[in-house]
Amino acid sequence: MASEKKVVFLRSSDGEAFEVSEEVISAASVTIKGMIDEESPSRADTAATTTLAIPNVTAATLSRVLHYVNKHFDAAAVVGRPDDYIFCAPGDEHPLARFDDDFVDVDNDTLIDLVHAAEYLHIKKLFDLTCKAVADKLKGRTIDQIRETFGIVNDYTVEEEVEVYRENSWAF
Amino acid sequence: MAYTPAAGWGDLPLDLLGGVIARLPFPADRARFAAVCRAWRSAVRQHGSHLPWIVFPSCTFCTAGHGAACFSFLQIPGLADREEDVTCLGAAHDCWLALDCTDDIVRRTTLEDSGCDPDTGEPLVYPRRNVKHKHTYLLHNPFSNLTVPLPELDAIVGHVAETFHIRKVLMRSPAPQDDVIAVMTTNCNYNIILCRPGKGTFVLPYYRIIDVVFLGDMLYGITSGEELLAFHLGEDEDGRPSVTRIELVITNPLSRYYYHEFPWFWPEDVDKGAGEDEHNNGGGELSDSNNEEDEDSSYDVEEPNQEENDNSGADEGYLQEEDRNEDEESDDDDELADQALEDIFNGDDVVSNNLAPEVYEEAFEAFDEDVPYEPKDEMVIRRYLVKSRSDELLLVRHRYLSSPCSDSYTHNVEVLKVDPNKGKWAASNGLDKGEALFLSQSYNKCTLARGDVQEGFVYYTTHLVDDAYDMTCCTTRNITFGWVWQCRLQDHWLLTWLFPPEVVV
Repeated sequence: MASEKKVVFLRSSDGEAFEVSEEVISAASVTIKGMIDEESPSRADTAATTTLAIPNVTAATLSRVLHYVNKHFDAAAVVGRPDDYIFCAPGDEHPLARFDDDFVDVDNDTLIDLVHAAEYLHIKKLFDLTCKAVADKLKGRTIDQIRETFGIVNDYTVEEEVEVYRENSWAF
Repeated sequence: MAYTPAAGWGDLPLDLLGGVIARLPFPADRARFAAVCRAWRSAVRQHGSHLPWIVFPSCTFCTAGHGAACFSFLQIPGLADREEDVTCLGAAHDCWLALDCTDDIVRRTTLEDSGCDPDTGEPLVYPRRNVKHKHTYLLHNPFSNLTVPLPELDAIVGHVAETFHIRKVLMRSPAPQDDVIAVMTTNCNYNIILCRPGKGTFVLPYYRIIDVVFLGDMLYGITSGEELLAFHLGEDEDGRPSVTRIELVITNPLSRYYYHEFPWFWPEDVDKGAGEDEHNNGGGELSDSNNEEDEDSSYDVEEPNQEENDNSGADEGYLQEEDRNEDEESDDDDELADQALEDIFNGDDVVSNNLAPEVYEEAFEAFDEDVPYEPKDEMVIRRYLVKSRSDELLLVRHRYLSSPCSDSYTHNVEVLKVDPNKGKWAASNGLDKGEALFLSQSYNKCTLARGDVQEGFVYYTTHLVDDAYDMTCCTTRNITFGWVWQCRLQDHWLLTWLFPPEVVV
């Protein structure tokens, strides 16, 4: 086998292709690893690189995701605590914590795209990170603030809403 | 499969919402989340695991079930800049934690962080008898954000050696401002301290109590010999707590084997009732003639004790050497009482804990001087006193095998109930229907089984939190939800359960 790094191309829903190391993306994404494994018999003897279609993710989101993946899963770039780096004991700063904070400091539409992409691509660390970012936007907020922030329409009837408030009245 | 980008936050699939809910551990946040719209409410409903949290001495807590994760209590009001000094002693009630604000770091140092001397291999952080620290105790409810200081307790055990430990803090009711709390320590002069915030304290010295539970106007306690004491609680005209009567409800004629000493007599103030003669005779005969005929129908509690005692009693010296918690013996004689207060809290006179090793026969040979010592597997029993959901007292024996070369594992769990007519423990058929049990050194609870909490299961923080004991078929089971890996870095004795208020959805 050639020792040079294999790359794959990912094509976003709007047709843009991104190059990424096969090793890195396989470590990160369960979904893409599955696609590569499926492809591999047909390309075993060719030098041609593979292009995988990612129909559910737009170019803007995919480029963000790959930025994250390259930071977190490229073994040459960083070797951190392998497990749940989000665990935040005082003084226990992960080298990528700052990067992660900036990464999810985005508007809600971008964030929701990232959550969807992380879930579709099965990137657990990114899914945890984005869910945590959403949760942080919800913590300590009132119901009206949450609805306004996320543009959610209240679909409870008046009676239902009274009931919802009543049963957990201690929380409001 | 058509994909609709940014379908909106209200239409997120359940999986995604579940991921967010897992990151919202506080019930108040979840309740508000559920109130936002119908879809979010049904996501919260599906996500309800009903599992308690595990809290570490560092005040970090972790959740279980789908999306299990660790979180920190970042803000505790009233502590200003001393947050790094906070050590969690355990849960004091379902939603309450007992906290200790101190610069003594021994307890909150994890096994991983304690480090080892590169030359000797000895741990670098360990409790020292001759070093004292100042302690400020408080109760804190992280859900309502209430904090209740305990200056009365500080006055008694506010300056103690690193070897002094508080094993348990227990509130009688969820309103600590107006009710009594019991504090169980390792120091024999202060076996139990009753404390009522703003009123005063009452000290119960050496009664060998290893676990306590409130039931009505009584505080019940068990000794390492499974004897049951009832402390009748009262208060003086100033509201200071007191004990009006001490009753020995269950005696164990063989208990002296557990105490590693001869003879042991109860203090004068203990009302020994019918058990007195038996106990002082030290015989195994039971004076109650009714007892004979019931022998078949009710499991005779004396028998398993006898077996254990054959082991543990036979080679007492060995046990004492082995017991890492040093059940050192000393009658609380007058000399000790006369010692200056300075010397009292050095942890020398340790109340035996609820740990009693049952040692395999072959291990005894290790005590032969000609044969080099070799660590062997040990059967260890931990005993707990728990209040059932129907307000019955349960004695729970957790037997597990502690091995030097592999992970420990549970051998079995037994649940016994008080047989009031005979003054002894009687076997029960496991737990009541729909119940599950959570055990830890600092907090025990019998709960309703639902969500991920399975009926008839006994969960414990001891050694392996990844298994539980199924009382319905008497086997150890792997639990389907996993605790986070950080649990394994902690001293498992010091982990505690905390039961957040339930969100109704």
